[in-house]
Amino acid sequence: MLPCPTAALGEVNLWALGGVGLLAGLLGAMLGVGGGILVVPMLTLALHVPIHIAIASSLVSIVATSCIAASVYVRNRLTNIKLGLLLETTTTPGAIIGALIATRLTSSVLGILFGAISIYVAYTMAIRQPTTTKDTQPADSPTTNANELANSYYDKSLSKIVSYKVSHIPLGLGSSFFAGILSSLLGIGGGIVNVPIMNLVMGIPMKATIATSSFMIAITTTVGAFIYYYHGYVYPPIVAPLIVGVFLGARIGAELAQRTTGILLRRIFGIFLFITAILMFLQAAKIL
Amino acid sequence: MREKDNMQTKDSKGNSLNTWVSLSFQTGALVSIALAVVGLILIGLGGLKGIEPIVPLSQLLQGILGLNATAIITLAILILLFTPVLQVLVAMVSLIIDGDKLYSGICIILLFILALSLVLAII
Repeated sequence: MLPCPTAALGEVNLWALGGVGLLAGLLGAMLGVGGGILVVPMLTLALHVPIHIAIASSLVSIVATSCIAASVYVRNRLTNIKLGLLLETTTTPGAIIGALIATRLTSSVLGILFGAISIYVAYTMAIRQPTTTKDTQPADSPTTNANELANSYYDKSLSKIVSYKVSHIPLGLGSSFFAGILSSLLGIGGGIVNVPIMNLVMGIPMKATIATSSFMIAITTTVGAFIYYYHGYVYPPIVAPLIVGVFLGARIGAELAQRTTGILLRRIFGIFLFITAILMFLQAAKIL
Repeated sequence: MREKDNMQTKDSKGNSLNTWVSLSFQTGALVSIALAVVGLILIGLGGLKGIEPIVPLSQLLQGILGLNATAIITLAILILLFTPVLQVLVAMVSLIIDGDKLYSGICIILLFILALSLVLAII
């Protein structure tokens, strides 16, 4: 058991932290969601880690996994680096604002906000159809600044080059700002906002969307993590087992994802997340 | 396959950007995770009693030289957090070499915002 600096933190088991990271990385990779939506409730509900420390630890672990994922996507030329850099000009200010707000909010308010977002993600997982099949751009989608951000990649599964243009850039910049706020406020990657907007609104094929989102998440979560670090919420002995666990879990999950059918898993995960959200609400209301 | 080869030959500028950005991401993350593992091994060897929860930055070097587990993990975290910053820097240099003024300018704006987050964090 690890002696922790605050009375509220109590004692935290390193193996349990590693286990939380492993499970979050595994499920996150299998379901295509960031680990943060799992790490924060697991730390707060199961290990009784204060929510600010849980969010800070989650952000650092997301930096680790998104860096690894982004390196693979960039090497395979799936990432639209220029688009990622452009969208980050609004995501990072959002992340700064989100982190500064979070450091001033009480645990109860953060718990309620996290519960609300969890319900939204649970709904998208359990009920809404996944958008992962959308890999081609509608022929009539309006494009702006198309030549500059138009990109292409070689799709191994289709054995052909997929070319696309980017549309609705101002909307993308606006939603990225919102994604940045949510990321730092709640310790999540922000992909729950960026991925549907980039894929469905901006007309970017899903593979390029996920790759570009991973690239962006690494930068966004870093901004939030810096601010939490300087406010004293990043505890190295808590973060270390978490990042190692998430890293290993994500690698195993990526392998398993190719062998499992997604729909049932998504629905079970949606129900699990819904229960988690209710527990977060109860904890915020001091009932739990 | 020929299509893929043609695409790679045509876009050698994009290739260098992708290669360097990918390399900087991977190196930073792997070094950081390796240091976190070293820190955890040290905690395992030395036991949990007396583990400092936080090592101030002013005592970081001293802690690392003294094989303090928390100091080594702090270094791992700092390397990890500076990896995406380095990656933006690498992208900027690569875009400047390629003569892309617009996107190298966007990288500079992004680096400014990242620096601002550090300043705001301290305030």
